[in-house]
Amino acid sequence: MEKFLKGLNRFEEGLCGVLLLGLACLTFVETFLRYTVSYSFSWFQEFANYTLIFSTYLGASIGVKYGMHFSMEAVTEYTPDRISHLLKTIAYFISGLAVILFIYFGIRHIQSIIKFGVKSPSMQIPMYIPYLAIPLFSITISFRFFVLSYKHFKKFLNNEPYLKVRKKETH
Amino acid sequence: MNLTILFLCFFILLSLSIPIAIALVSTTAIYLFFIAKIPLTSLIQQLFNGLDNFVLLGVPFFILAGNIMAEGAISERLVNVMKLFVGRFTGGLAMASIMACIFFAAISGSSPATVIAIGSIMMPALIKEGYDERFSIGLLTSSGSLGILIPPSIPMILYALVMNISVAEIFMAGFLPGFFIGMCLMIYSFIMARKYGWYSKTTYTLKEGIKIIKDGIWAMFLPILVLGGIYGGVFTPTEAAAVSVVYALFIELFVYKELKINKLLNICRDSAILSGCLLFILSCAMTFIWLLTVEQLPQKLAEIIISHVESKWVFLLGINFALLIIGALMDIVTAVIVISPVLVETLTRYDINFVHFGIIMIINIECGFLTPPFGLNLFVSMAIMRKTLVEVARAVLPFIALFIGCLLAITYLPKISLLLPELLLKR
Repeated sequence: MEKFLKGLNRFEEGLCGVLLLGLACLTFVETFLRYTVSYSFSWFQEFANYTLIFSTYLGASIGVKYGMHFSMEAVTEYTPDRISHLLKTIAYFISGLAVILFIYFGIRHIQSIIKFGVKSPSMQIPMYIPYLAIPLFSITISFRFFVLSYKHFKKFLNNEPYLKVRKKETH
Repeated sequence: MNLTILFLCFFILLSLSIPIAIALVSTTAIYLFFIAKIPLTSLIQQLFNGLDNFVLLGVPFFILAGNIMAEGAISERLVNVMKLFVGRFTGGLAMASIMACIFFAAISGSSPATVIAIGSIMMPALIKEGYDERFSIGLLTSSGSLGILIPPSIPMILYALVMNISVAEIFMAGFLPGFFIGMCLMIYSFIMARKYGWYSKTTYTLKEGIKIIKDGIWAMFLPILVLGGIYGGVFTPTEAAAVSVVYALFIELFVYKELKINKLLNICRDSAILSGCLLFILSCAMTFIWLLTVEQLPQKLAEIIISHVESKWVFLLGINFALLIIGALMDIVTAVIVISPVLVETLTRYDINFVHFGIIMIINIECGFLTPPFGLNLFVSMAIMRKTLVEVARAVLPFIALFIGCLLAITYLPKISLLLPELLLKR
């Protein structure tokens, strides 16, 4: 299980990097062709937008693991360490719950798109495919929020020190 | 009444230290569900639509291009060229740093990337030449923030998106304010250098000079390619971003040959995660903005502000003041993204140009990047200069004062921002 999760993590991180680089190169090729031989792919912009949405949610999900989502730390900065941990536990728990909304209503929305058979304007693919990114990565986002919440809860129980922003040394 | 509940809810969530993106979207969800009674599937639709825009693709591309250049050899070659030109004057090395920042700002769209690129090279050099350590830290940390004022700029793309204006136009408006702040920084450095006798003894032979320029020419060509391409009508800002990624890759891999493939993959991964987090906030912020617009907050706010504040200059002063405080409390880019669209109606009534207002917002973001405890540049400097937050923050103080002075000048002289777009872009 451990090995599987590690592999999945590495795949996720590799995928988001490669997607970004690939998309940049593709955009370059498209621009070059359009300028030189005035040829442009009709599907390109739509494809690029959907890939961007996919990689945004993927990147956001990995970002939770590295604690890269900004939050306002004004309160946790000045409360005692134990209370800061408790606040963080609650904050991440609520975040996890909030993202579950994305999963539930994302699936509901996709169901209704499938029912109406909506297709994308230029690529003519079923519209639920690009929408899949939201509920799919919300699963990992909310899972990671719950993990963070659990970690802070453990530190709260063990009364461990809280790493405050203004005391952080070089990282 | 409803709006009061909305904001109360938002601030409670925010002060619990919930990530800003989640706080924004949760507030929207709570409001939709309990008060507006709109099905929450529309929330998913807004999350999706907020990102479904070709302009946004420029954000990850500019982040990627900036990171490639910051890690690679381009920044070093640029610094060498600047040293060759102004290094011999009093305070020359400090001026060379500022000019390198301006130049680097013209090829990257991010402030932290500029600090990494120029700061990590110039910091040891300045100390070696006998510059005061505190001055050097302050200088490099603050002049790096020119990265977002001189085009291309990532926050400008986000602002242009939420305010519905042209990216090319606000890019163009950033030039003169950027040079203006750069000049002020240079004058300040010159005064300090004269006072303490900081000057360089390095001289170059003609042969060395030619080699440095030859080495640097690839890096120097990039701004011409990117900005020339945009304003020559060859490509859009988004495509320019892709072009600069490919060009940066090309010279790092095939001309300077110092970038390893392994490192490149790491850079790609880091850039993708960073832009993922940034655009995730945008996606969530767009749902909040959508809700505020549906509830007609911009109109209501405009009524209140106009009836209390007579002059638009007082209004602008108030906004600047408020943002300086907000910048010390939360991530300033998000704050600007959310606040600007809410003020659309007010700006229209006061007859304030959206582009000019955008430039004011960008300089506020720069100040926010420099103010503790959450200024991004401070953290970058802490990491590359091995100092604590308190030391860096103290070093930056005089420069914040200088930035605030420039901010006021640019606020009250709209021409500084609007001259170039008016001259060059008006059809």
